[in-house]
Amino acid sequence: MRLSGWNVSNLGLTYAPVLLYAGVIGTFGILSPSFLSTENFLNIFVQCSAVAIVAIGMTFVLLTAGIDLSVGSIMFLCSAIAGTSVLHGEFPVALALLFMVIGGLFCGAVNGYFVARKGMAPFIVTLSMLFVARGSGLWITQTRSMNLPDTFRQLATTRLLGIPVPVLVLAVVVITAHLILTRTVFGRQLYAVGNNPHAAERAGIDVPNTLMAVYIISGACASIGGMITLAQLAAVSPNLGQGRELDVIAAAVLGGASLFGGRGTAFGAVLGAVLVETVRNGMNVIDADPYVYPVIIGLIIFAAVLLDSTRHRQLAKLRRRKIRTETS
Amino acid sequence: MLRNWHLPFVVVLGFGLLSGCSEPSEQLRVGVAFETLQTEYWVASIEAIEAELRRRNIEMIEAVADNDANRQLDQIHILIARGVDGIIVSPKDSMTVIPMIKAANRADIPIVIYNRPPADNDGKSVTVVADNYKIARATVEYMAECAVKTGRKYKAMILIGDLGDINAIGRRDGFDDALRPYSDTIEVVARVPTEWSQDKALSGVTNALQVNPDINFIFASTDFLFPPLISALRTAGKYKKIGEEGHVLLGGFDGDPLAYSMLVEGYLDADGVQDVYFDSAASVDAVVRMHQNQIVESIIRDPGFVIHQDNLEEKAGQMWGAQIARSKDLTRLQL
Amino acid sequence: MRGNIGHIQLFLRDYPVLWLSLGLVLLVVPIRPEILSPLNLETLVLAVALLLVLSLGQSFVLITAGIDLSLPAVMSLASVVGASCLAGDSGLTGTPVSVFTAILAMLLIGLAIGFLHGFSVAYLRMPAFLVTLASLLWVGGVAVWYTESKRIPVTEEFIQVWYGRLLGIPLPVWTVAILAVLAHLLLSNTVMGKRLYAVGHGLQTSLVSGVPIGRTIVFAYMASGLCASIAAVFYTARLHTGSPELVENEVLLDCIGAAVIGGTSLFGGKGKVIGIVMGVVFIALVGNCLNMLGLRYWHVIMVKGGVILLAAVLDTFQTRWSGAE
Repeated sequence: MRLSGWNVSNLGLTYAPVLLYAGVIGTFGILSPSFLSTENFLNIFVQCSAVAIVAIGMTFVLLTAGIDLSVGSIMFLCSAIAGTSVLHGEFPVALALLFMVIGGLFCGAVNGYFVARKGMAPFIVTLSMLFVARGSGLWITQTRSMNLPDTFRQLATTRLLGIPVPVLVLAVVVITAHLILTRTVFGRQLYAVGNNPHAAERAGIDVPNTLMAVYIISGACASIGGMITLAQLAAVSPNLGQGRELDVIAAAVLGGASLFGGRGTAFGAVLGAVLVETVRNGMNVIDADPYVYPVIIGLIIFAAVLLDSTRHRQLAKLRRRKIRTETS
Repeated sequence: MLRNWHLPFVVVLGFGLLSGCSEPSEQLRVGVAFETLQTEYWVASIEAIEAELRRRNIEMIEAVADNDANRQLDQIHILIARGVDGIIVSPKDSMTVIPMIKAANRADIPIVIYNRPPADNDGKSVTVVADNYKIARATVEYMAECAVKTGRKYKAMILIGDLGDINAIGRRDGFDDALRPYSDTIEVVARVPTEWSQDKALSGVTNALQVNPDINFIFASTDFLFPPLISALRTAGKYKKIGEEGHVLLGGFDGDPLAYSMLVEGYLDADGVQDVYFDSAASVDAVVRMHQNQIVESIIRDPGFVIHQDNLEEKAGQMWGAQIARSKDLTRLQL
Repeated sequence: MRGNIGHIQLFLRDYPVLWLSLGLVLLVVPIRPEILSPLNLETLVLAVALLLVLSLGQSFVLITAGIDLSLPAVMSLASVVGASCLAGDSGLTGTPVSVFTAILAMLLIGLAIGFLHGFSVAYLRMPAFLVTLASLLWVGGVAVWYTESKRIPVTEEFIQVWYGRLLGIPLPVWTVAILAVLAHLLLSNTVMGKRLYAVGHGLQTSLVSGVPIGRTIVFAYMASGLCASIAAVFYTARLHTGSPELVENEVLLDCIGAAVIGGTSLFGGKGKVIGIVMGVVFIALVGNCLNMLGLRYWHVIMVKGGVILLAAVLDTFQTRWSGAE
């Protein structure tokens, strides 16, 4: 009897995040039935796909107790490169997209070099990359906006099997990342490095190379996120990606990653991004007062975190209690 | 050990000497402090000011504050310390510019406020400004007349700028006041806050079109938001030329190159134009005349105008975006 | 005498960023001698004062291995509330009492939000990053909502908080200098200082050694909130404006960056006021020099990034040298 009671509350606590999502979705659904349409849910996924993909890359970095502040600027720099090569260099779109990925890998490698090989603080390294990449992008574009051909937009609106391409890209990225994190030696090493770099080193893990890899992955994800943003807007504006690093880190941390390393999953990052976008979309759909947006989004993030921390504390307490009854 | 930390010192000193000394010139120097270069309008403005200064053989010193009023005040102080002969500033808002005016007054350096008028103050400055409210209102009134002519009912949406920007508020109020008399034909169903950001505009518009698929009257508070707007409209299959079935009445503000090409291709109904060439020439002229201790009126108004399908030929010559668009390959601007 | 020189040598070796700052000045002086003009030096000192307040507050939190992203929002809310106190029809408008109440209200806002953060982090075990990020959104949102993003003018008396002078030195410089000295004493000479470092070094060990973790963390966040509201007082007076958009979020990068360049660790347990002051001087100096040089916009941003990286590279060299000895 007591056992089943424990099970029920345990169940509730384990699935607290699900309940929160259900609550958010239910509230908006009641306020505006059109919120609940399949089309609108696809919308939410399309709109958060860029942030979610970059947040997956960020999760890799966070797992090693690092941080990457430069993702927003890398998104912009890569977009600027693609825009310029298409508009002024007359390169085909496919090649421009390849340039983007190369740009992202390069920026990530530079970050990784200074963090992994020079042992410098990730915060400072990626902070300078934030400025250098943004400045380079502004230099390339001369701070002008660029309007791109419609081919770009078609990339974002094309559907395969009824699913928009950005969502498919997101799915591919998240599944790949999930497999890397859970099924490969590299993935397990990441968690080890994040939990205790010295122990990891002693255990024979090549810590510098691991660190190098995560920044490159983050740079690559940033360039893919840039690609999706670019395709959706069909334009490069000087403030593309500006301040995105906070959204991205927030999504990753909401999804369970810790800034102190060793915690976090790829699917978590996606869920974090989806939660924020669902709230924004919901308020949009119910035509809320624009002034209230940030207040509500802030409070819901607060509630989500509070719920999560309460759950952790309660679960820990319950487990302790159970162990005690079993042993006594 | 000593050698070790002398090294950077020597290197740095060497660089310092290498970069050489520049002697002060007799040329006039004007500091141009912009709050942002984030939209085509600001870029066109600073370039027009630079061109006008160059034409008069005046050196321009550029400072961009990245939306930070405090940093802009620092930049003004630094320009003053550099001993410029005049300052043109496009401030973040009407209040934070007041200490900048006071600082310039104390140093006895003429200061011209570009595009955003200062609040009441006892400082001495000249303001060059477009009437955002009036131009937006005239633009939306033209659109409303087009709507009435069709005899159909309309559902309207506005893309609002940053609610902290007085010009965004002016344009929003112009939109509201213009539509008030037409409330039986045109109903405002969506107000999308964009904070002047393209991605926020894209998701806002996409969602609004989802909820109100019958929106057919859209005013964007800046042309800068057209790319995401068009993207969302195309996705919803609603980006149609004027006269085609399902055309959405479109209006914008600024007069940028994209707006011009949309007008030419027949997608855009009306656009409120701020006259960049007038604004920049007037600003430079005012700064020079103040430097020569001439009296300059404290507000120079850019009347602006509305460009639309009926006066396109006649007004295109005054539209800055048209000049830029014509100087480039037009096809590159098409979306 | 010898001991003194040894001290200075150690000092320079500990803070390579000082070298870089010096180098920067030497680099710019031949090109723009105006950088050493009294007018510019005052601009620079005031910029240092503004950033230092924020960095000091932030470093209290960083030392406990936390982070406070809410500073810009707290500043905005304090600014609009303070300015509306001044503008209120209480009959006090224009008197020193109104200035006093306005400042008090602003400081209370900082303390209250700081308390909320400290409580959430210490007792509810919520991650600092998200708690303060949520506040960055909702507190900032409340400020915009409350004013409908209108700007509020402030009175002439209030402006004196920034523009007033004592013995020829601007008031904010006095205030910030006193704050810095207090912070230094607090961190190096008091029990609370030791507790802050202990908490930053590891919750488990400090729990064992009997440090009241909860109260210490709450103290750190309240100090950070207080510093943010002091900065709000300065910004509001300096810009003559109560505004919900007083400051851009980028100021976070500047103040955390300055603390980290000055030797504070994001993982807690490390950080000294001296180092933070030097980090702040460096960041403020970079901004000043770049504006002095009058480079193009994008070059300013790129060079800023490059110089910050250089500071970090020098730092690693320094560590290597001292490690080699």
